[in-house]
Amino acid sequence: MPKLLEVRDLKTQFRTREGPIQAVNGISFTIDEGEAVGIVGESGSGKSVTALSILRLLPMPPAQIVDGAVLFQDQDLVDLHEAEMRRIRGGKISMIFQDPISSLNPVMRIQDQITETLQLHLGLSKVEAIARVRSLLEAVGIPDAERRMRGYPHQFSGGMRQRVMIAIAIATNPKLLIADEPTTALDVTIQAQILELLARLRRDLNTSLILITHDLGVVAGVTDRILVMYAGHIAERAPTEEIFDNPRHPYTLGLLGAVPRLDAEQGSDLVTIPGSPPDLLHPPAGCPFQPRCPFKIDKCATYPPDLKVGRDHYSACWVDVTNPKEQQRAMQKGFIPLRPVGGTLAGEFSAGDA
Amino acid sequence: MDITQFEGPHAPVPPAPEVIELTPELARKRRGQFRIITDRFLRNRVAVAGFVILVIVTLLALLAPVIEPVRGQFDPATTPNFAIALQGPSLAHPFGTDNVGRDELARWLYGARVSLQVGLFAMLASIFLGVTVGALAGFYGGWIDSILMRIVDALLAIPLYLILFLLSATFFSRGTTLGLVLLIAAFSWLYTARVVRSEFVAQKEREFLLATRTLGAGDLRLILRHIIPNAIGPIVVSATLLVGINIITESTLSFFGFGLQPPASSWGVLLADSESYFTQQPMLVWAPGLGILLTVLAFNLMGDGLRDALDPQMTER
Amino acid sequence: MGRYIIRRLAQAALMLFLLSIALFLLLYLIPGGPQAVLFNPRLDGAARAALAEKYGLNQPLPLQYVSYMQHLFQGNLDSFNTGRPVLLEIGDRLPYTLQLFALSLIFAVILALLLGVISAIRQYSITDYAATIVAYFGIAMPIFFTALVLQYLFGVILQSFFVTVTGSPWPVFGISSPNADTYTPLQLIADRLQHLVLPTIALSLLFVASWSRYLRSSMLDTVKQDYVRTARAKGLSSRVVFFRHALRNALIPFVTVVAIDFAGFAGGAVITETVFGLPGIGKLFFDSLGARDYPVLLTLLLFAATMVVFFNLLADLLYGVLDPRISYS
Repeated sequence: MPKLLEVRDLKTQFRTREGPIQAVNGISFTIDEGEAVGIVGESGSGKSVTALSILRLLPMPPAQIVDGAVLFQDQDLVDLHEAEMRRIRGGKISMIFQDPISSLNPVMRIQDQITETLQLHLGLSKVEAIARVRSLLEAVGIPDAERRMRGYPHQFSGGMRQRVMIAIAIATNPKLLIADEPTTALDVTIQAQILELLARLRRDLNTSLILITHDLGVVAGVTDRILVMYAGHIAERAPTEEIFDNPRHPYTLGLLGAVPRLDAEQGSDLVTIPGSPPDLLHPPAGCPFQPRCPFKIDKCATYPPDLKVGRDHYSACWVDVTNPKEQQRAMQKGFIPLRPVGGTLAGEFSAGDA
Repeated sequence: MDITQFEGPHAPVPPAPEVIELTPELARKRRGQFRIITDRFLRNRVAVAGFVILVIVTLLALLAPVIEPVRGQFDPATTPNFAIALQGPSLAHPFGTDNVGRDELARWLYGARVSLQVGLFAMLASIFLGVTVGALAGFYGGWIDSILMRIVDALLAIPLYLILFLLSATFFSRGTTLGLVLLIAAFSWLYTARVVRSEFVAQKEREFLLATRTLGAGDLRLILRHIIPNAIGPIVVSATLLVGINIITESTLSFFGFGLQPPASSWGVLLADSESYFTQQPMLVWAPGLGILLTVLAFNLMGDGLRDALDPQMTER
Repeated sequence: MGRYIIRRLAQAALMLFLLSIALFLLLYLIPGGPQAVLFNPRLDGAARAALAEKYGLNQPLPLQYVSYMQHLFQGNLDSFNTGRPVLLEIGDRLPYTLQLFALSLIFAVILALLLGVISAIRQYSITDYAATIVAYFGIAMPIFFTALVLQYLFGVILQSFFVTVTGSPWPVFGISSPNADTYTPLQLIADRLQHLVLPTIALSLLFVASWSRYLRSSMLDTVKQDYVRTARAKGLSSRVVFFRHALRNALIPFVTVVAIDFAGFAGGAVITETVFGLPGIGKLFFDSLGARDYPVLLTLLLFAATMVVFFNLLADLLYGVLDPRISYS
């Protein structure tokens, strides 16, 4: 598959009174045409900033892309002229946001919010655009589209509004769709429907997809590959099954422990990783995860390189978490292995003295 | 469970502690918060400028009786000297003299006293009224809220100056400072009441109040001890802005002859006296006019600074 | 919608009714009220009785109120001062006030919109700072002082810079030129407008200042909203984002603020008129106040309150046009 997007050593920071915050700290990855990639991490890991940096939608200042390149169809978006950037936004790259309640303009009719992009990017007339709206709304599964397209956002439920957002995003048949936590604000039952819709549309339209989430469970059935982000870095990247079956970064192990499982005992607590993400104003030297990491060794004081640990599988960690000795050591620090899978462990980090 | 311990639904609720013990930790926390707010305020140069202007004007007003004898202008309000009427600014009379030969600077200084006094005292009275009404409406809700807020709406429908002119001309003891203060306060509490009410409605829902409630705290205690301290920010801000508004109201009333009467000399009275001499001795109008402008400006700058310092979300970008 | 309007009108009518009782009691009970007219030392007992009889001041208060209202609505409530019907007195003066009022309101709203939007688009620009400074001064100046300063500026300092089309000095007082009776209708209109320029500026300054600041902060609030980011993500130009998406949302609270300030605007008009010597409602008010003409005073207050309530209702309806989330049911 030909390469669609390449992010190369991207660094985005926010200037604050107290000093610069490194929200994205030199990340690189590629996305092929038609490929779906998940970016997973806790809030504050830099996954949303990455997405907003690609489209240059961050408020600047205080945000600033200080280094790196975003090559989209071999064109660097970082220093593209604003007018040309506008042609990419909503045209070739579309974005879906987390909160559908606040992401639609409350005082504009649904159809007007959709025809806007159609007229801008496809050069349709108002009449042509309105005619297109109906089929778009039907494509995203909004019943009674003919009538509802004249309504306002407040007349739609959260799930329906997210469908409208998706309709806006796919209206121009973009090459790349970025969905930033598209299901987080929705009811659990609706979440699955929206994910299913996204997966189907992506296949039908042959669009590449970046799916951003804090929940590994969300990306499982949808994406081809996963990037795990922590504190502005990519901790681990691998094909989706590899991440689940053979996680190699201690942070990924923790995330997997945090996925609610159907086979979990009734009433068992939802597992979280003890500790909190580092203060990005004063990040720790070396690996940013080390203060929370039960596998920590002395070498962690220097940032680990992107080590190749398998086919298309990279992990930024000095420790081989598959090594039983290392596991033994981590267990003494409160690491609780949950399920032995394929020679490695998904695990829970207890709130011990890790 | 020991069944003998059961006292039924009307069992006396243990009284909540009458005083919150000011542990060193709590004291430090409060001091810390105060420091943060002060720091934020001091970083705001414009607000500090407003504060400095106010300090200067206040000092001048307070020291007016002390300054005057030194300059040999004792009791300027009652010593006309037609020989030197309507002089321009000079060393002896920096602001010139008015139409009956009184030193304008002396009158200005005494005017500052009165203007500030009226502004401050009317603010205190109207904050008291506004907080009381707003607290009652917001805390109790229901029909109390409806009635009080309808009254506020009705009063807001009458142009303020019309009713003030009318009442001042007819029955409020025109000419006395106290009468003027009460009159101004009687119609300037409306916005404070609205602000406090909405603050109360928001605070009431907070869980800590529910917790206090179950401990059996009385309503008054709850309002004074728990809600007002939490709503203090908006109250302080509106109090600061109110002083400026009151000074403007006073000057307008006095200018049209419905406020203080000569020989009392607020800035508004000075303007009323000297309006017709604007072309002859502009200083007679500029001095009190700019006095009002600067003082009100300073109160507004300080109010805005306080608002930003108390509500950091508004400014952090 | 129709139902909503009817309900709101009924509420407004009830409020005005209660307000009329309150104001009536306030005016007629207070020392120095209408009764004081009877204690004019120049009157003898018989004259007093005749006067009290004539104005119904010897009747119980509720009856006086009823008869006041009756006469008001029948249009034969007479002024103590001139003996003419109150409504005629008001009708004579109203056009002048309405002209100033309408002109100032339009001017203030347009200028506030312009300044607010420009300040928000070009945040921290020179224009923004200048608008901020002017706004701070505008808010801190009593309206009568603004009026005085304008008179001084145009009448003394800039006398030679600003002249009318006929070459005379720019008018700083009154409603028409002394030789206006020789003017053609067109000249009359020009003359009237020239006389209204300074009063309009004086009355508007305060409101331009506070409204433009309000719109600015409301705009800056709006551009941080998620839907504005959505609009940008569509690739719309910042101008379209601003005017199509942000402005309309920011206008919703703006309308409320303008409506709230309506009573203040009316009071400001009275002050401005008086300083500039315009023969409008303000003059009637002060004349009636001097003459203790209670029927006129009470009617003026009620009239002002009615206007304020009416325009608030209008603002509510406009609110509904701007914001589809409001439903009138």
